[in-house]
Amino acid sequence: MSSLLPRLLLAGVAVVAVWESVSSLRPPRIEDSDVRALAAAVRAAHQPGDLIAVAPAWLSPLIQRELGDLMPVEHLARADGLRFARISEVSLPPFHSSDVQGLSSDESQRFGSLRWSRFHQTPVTVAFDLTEHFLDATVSQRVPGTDAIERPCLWTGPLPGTELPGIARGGFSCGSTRSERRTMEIDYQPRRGIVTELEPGQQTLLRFSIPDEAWQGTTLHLWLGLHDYHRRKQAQGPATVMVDLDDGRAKKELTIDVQQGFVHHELELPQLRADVHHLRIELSAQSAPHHLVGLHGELRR
Amino acid sequence: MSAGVKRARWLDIALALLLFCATTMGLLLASRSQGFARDEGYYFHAAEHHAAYYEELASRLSKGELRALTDRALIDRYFSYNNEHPPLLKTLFGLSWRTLHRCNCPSEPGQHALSYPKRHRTLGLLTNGEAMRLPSHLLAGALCAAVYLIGRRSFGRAGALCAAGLTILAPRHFFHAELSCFDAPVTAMLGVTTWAYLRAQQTDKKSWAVLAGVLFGLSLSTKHNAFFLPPLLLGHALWLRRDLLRGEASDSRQTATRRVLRYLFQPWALSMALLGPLVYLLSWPYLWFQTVKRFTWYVGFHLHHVHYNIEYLGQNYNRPPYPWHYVPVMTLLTMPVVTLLLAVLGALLWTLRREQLIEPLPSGERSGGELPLVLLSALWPMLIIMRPGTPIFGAEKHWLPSVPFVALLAGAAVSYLIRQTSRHARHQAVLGPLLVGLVLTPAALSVWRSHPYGLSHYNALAGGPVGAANLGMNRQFWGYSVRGAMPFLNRALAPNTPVYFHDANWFQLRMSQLDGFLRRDIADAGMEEPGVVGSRAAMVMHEKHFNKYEYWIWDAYGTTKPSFVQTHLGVPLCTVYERPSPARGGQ
Repeated sequence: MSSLLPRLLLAGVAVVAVWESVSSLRPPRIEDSDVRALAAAVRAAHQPGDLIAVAPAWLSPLIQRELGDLMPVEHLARADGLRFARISEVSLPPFHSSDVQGLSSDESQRFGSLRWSRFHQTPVTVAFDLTEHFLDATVSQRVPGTDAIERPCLWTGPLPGTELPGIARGGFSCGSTRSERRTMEIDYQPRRGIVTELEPGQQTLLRFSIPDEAWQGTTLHLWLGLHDYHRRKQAQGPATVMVDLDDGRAKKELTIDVQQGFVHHELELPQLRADVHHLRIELSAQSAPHHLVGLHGELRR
Repeated sequence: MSAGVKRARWLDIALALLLFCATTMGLLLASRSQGFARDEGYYFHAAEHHAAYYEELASRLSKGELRALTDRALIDRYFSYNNEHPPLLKTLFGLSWRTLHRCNCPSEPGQHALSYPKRHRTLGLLTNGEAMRLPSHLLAGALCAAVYLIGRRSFGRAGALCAAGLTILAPRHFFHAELSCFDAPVTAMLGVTTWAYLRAQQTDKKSWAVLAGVLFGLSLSTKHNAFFLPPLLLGHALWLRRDLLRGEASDSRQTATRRVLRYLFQPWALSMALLGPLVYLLSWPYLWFQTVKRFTWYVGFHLHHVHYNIEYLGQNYNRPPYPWHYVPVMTLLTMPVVTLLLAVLGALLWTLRREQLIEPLPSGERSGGELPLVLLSALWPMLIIMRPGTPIFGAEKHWLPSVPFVALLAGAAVSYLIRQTSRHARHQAVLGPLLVGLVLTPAALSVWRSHPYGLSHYNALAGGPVGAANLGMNRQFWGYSVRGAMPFLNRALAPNTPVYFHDANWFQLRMSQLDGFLRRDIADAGMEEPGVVGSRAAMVMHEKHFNKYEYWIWDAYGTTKPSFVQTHLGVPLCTVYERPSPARGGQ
């Protein structure tokens, strides 16, 4: 007469074996037909300027394959989703995009394991976008803490939109380093912005001239982080960012730690009347090598 | 020896051979659809060099030129490349290739590591890649046979068959066993060395001790993991043979010193200490000159190895300290669940109900301390990697030597269940095959489901690859998923298109072209951002730290819309972009 224990164990093993076999035969999967059906629905309802947000991020290549023409790099690499009035969220429940946090969906539809939800919000107004106006910026370098004359950084390479295969993108060349507009990788996510490689012993200055109508009634939103994980792995110590508003009327020092993400800062602007206002961003680091400072800024109201 | 015992022995030898052949053939057939991996590319290149060395050496020796044996220039020419890894497997890959590949070498300039103006005389049985990979398949087959024999001697035939089956029917082990790499082969070498050691303990025969020493040398020549084996075996042997210290009252001639010497210098230990290094040195001609300098460099390379990246629970790790739980969690999420469940049961039952599952000792043999050896061998490789300073970028491949011993513990549980569920021999005869089938089915299905993306496999506990992607687990490494994109590239690209191949290196692409998986006119555009900028098509293999490469492509191509996404169960592995044609200017 055998004991109960082996029989119970045998039954337990059999249950697990059957469960695992069924799981292998019918595993969770993202069906291509669901992706295509969802994409057709999103495309039919899409209006210019809509944001298509995907969660979790690993799904994005599948959605971009179908809807990439509606998902420009400026959308995919956004700092946040507050400037978009309409958001189409494609998600694998229970995931949600951070862009729709706090919003309630107007409509939701399931396509197999995927969900399409539509959201509306009152968007912020972006009066001035530093990344968009990068070509209008003045870039220079100087030795910090001295009266040495600034060294201008001159544009080299093709202008944005005129690049050719085999030709590297254009940017402001400052000695052995560059400042350029690109899709950055900060915290392993795409971020559209301006990358400035810091040079030892030098401070890089980015100057923007901003019209009064864009300045009045707005606040400066600045996102900062370090671009490129290969370089972050080797970078030592923080980078320093000095934000100078209207030639010293207001100043704010910020730091960028190596492992931080794309950190958001909101700065009040001095409200003076002038035809043109000046925003100067001074970038430096005690240990400059491997610091590729990534920034994006907007004047929002 | 009775006729029954003889018959049983022959049956076991036949079953071991069957397991060897089935595993080898299974891997050979499956590997035809398995993409070449990045590191394989380097070893293919080295393998041709090693084979060329032995060919040239044999040629010169056949002409009576004995000095060729000590010709440093000859050795350095063929062994300098990839000398951060010992040579045994690369040599076997090379000799297998040299003997078996279907040769069109003279018409393949630039596609081989060396130039071949004349066709090789070969058996012409396999493609280049198949011939290179065959030694790995044979070693995995040998491991399954050895696992069967360990299990058969310990707890009987049905449990042993399960253990052998579960050894190879683990998706990640199966994947590595398909490749011309070292991780599955060193798992096999350590497994068979441990078997030989165990037989030396069980039988007290010098021949097993000698074999253990030779196999240990070959293990060292396979991969540096082998350096971690002696402490394990020594600890086990000192515990097992502690009776030697006490001595027999009747044996008054033995002094205490002699007893201690016999205790410490057991035959297997002497054999491993003497034959191991000798075989190691003989197999690696590169160490015949400047031995200390070159060996020190080799050790230093691995002590100061670059910490590559691995994603785990949403975080990218590329420097210590690493989380200690990486090893148990990865094991829990990648091994077949039924194997893990049975292994835990097996360890408990073997400890608590030993007499209900072990086989009677064959005459003339003694217990070899099987349970502690199997348990230690299952845990030791994991414990080494759990140290916070040990790199984890290779994921489970670095503790793969645990797998056969985890499978042996599972086999012990199966043996117990068959024997104790019913005491009737007739019932056991029916239950045995049924239970073996029941246990092997989910493991086999998980291998089938994961192929050819074994590195992307996660089990039902993780929710499969989709669940693992949600958890933020690494999806792949070594750029092997490029193979899934090759049919698209062959179909879609214009002649002579330069392609940015991202993590796939030129050597693995070269083998893909040689074996007809990738069109030979497709060119590699080069590495890093200049490669992207100069390409007409570009791909990215999805690993967390590789995201930036996709952003480079968006910027360089002015589009975020890929042409093709290679998926496994809907999870993107490799995404291909094509550069849009420039718009024509107005007239």
